[in-house]
Formats: sequence, C-alpha cells, structure tokens
Amino acid sequence: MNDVKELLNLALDKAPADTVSDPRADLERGRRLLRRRRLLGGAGVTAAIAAGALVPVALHGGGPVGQPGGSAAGSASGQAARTRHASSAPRPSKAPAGPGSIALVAWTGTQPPGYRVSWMPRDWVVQGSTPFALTIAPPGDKDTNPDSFLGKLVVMLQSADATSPSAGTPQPVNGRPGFFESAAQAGGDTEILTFQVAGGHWAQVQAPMSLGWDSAELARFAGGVRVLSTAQAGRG
Amino acid sequence: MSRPSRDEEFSAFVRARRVDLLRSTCLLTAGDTHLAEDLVQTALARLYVAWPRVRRSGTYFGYVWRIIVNAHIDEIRRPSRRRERNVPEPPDALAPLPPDSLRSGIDGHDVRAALAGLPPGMRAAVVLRYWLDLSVEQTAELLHCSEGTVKSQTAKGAARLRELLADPQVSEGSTR
Repeated sequence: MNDVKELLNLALDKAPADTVSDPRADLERGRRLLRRRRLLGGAGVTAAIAAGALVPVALHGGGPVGQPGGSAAGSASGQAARTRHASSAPRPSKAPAGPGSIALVAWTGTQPPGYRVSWMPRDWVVQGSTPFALTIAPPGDKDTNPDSFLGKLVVMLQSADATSPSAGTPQPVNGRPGFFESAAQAGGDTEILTFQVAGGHWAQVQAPMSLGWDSAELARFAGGVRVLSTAQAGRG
Repeated sequence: MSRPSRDEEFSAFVRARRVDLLRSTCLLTAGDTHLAEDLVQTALARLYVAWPRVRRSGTYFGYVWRIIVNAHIDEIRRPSRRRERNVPEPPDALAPLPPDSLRSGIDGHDVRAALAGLPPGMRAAVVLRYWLDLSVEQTAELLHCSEGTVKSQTAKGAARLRELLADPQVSEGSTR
C-alpha cells in the first residue's frame, strides 16, 4: 500500500471498469464538432494569427502557371482580393470529372496576392487571399467572409504541426506525391488533397462536394496553383 | 488497398482506449466521474477533428491528454487560481513512500479525498508521472511547465498524499 500507484489504483474502485466502449456517441460528437469547425472556417487560422503561432515558409512552384500576368507580387498584406476570372476560356482537361461537375477554366484575371492560379472552377470567384489561405467561392455566395471555408475551395499550406501526410489514396500532382481524402474519409462534406510542392513543403486543397470533382480533377486544379514565398503555415 | 477511414480508425481508438482514459481522468478529477466524462468527451471530439493531423504524427495519447489536462486545469482555476512554487533542488526520481507510514484501512474514498486535497497542477503531475508513467520531459510538455517544476510538484504531491493518508502515530513519531 506504500506505492503511490497502488494508492491511485485504490481510488478507482468507483470508476467505470468496462472493458470495451461503444464509440458511436463519441463519433457523433466528433462529427458535430467538425461540422461546426468547418462552418466557422478559418477560425483556427485566425486563432493562430492571434497567437502569433505562425511559421513562414518559403515555397516555390506548385505547378505550371498558365496565365502569368497581373500583379501577383506576393505581398503578405493579408488583404482580401476581389478578383474575377474569365468564364469563357477553355478548360484544361478533355472531359469533365463527372455529370454535374463544375468545369475548370483558365484563369485570366488579376492574380491574387500570395498565389498564382492557372485554373478556376467556372464562374467561381476568388474571395480572399492571405498568407494563410486562398479562398475561392461559388458565384453569389452569401457568405463573403474569406475566413469561412464552408462550401468553398480553399488552398493553404499544411499545418506546421503536421508531419508528412500519409492519409488517403495516392494522387500525384505534377508528378509529386499527393494524397486524396474523399469526403467520407475526411469525415465531412469536403474532399482534401494534400500534395507536395517544390522545396518539399506540403500544401492542401479543400474542395466542397458541390464542385463534383474527383481526385483527378482536384489534382488538375492543384497542379495549377503556385504558392508564393509569402505564404505561411498555421499551427494546430 | 485504401487505408481505413477517419471514422473507422477513430472508432477503433475509442473502443480500445476510452475506458483507460476515463479511469485515468477520474484520478485527475479526484473521483469526480461526471467531470471526468465531460473532459474525455471534449478531448475525443477534438481528437476526431484533428484526426488526420494527429494520425500523421502518431501522437494520439499526447494530444488527448494535453486537452484533458488543460481543460481540467482551466475548469479548476475558474473560481480561484493557485500558483506553483518551486523547490530549490527538486528530486530526480519517484520516491516510494516509507514503509508502514500509512494508516490502516485506507479505501478508495480516502485516496480520492487526499487527491482532492492537492492543487490541480500538482495532482496532474502525480497522475501523469505515477499513474501514466510519463517521463519528466513528457509531463512538463503536457503541463506547459519546466522539468524542474514537474519534479518538485511530483515530489510534493506524493509527500502531501502521504501526509493526508498517514498513520498519525507513525507520522508524529517519525517526522515531528
């Protein structure tokens, strides 16, 4: 009885002692929290900014840039960019990802700060571009907060706290490693493609199911995104 | 072959670890099973959200415990906050209690009451070090304090437990 561990064990005589737990309630709570987080969107990024817990990283190309031009000076201003693309330009792939999917078209507008974008979903708009995320929204989206990611296409660097990805099925992007998580795998209404960019860093694209894209179409979009050196990875 | 989904992996983790988590958390809460359940539910929900990132790093245990400990200390500190004090030369090892120093007939209620007599940070240090067998370094990381503080808090916590559960006659004869 003199060992502290034995004393602590004694204190557990009234504690639950089941050998197996039913995970359903915890699973549902986790799903609800995940939905709330996605509804709030960039809350984590905002918190990271507030805490100063940001890790700047130098990035280079994520892939070919089809339409250079504009004023993509890589400013880390954090200002939202209200930039349109042209909706009538040719799409980069031969066939749409699937029935009802939103086609990719070539970017022709002014490039957002911090990123170079080659392709865009037809009629979608860049809603905001900061060192932490590029947010692309469907036309007429009532949610104009670029830090809210629900139902939007988002490009960001992988969290500085994360190690190299291994989740999902392999989906190369421009010949570099990438991993695709379907909405079912990611546990929500969003598909996630984590892919390596030049310099060995990892970036992520979150795509809503409303785009109707498969992993290959998501990879085509990701292949046209170039994250500039001013991009920063959040924490957590 | 694709890997298991987040739901499948998370469910397997819960099935395998939830009971141990809850029991260990009961020590942290000095036997308050309702608070322990709340803390575990909170930690598991946040683990689910962070699953892809935590899976990559493989730090399920540390992630969950960091949430539980922080949430517990936040909860306890709401009404009043007690500050830790360092001792000049903290001991390096976990010292066993002296033989025959505890009163006879000690039961779970006595130990829970003694645990409740420890400040939350000190109790957390004792639980993490003695019950979960974490290293000083791991405990310091979870508690956001120095290794020296962990050593001092662990030693003082064990001493305080001993004091609260001591046989009055032995205690008086040997220490006073």
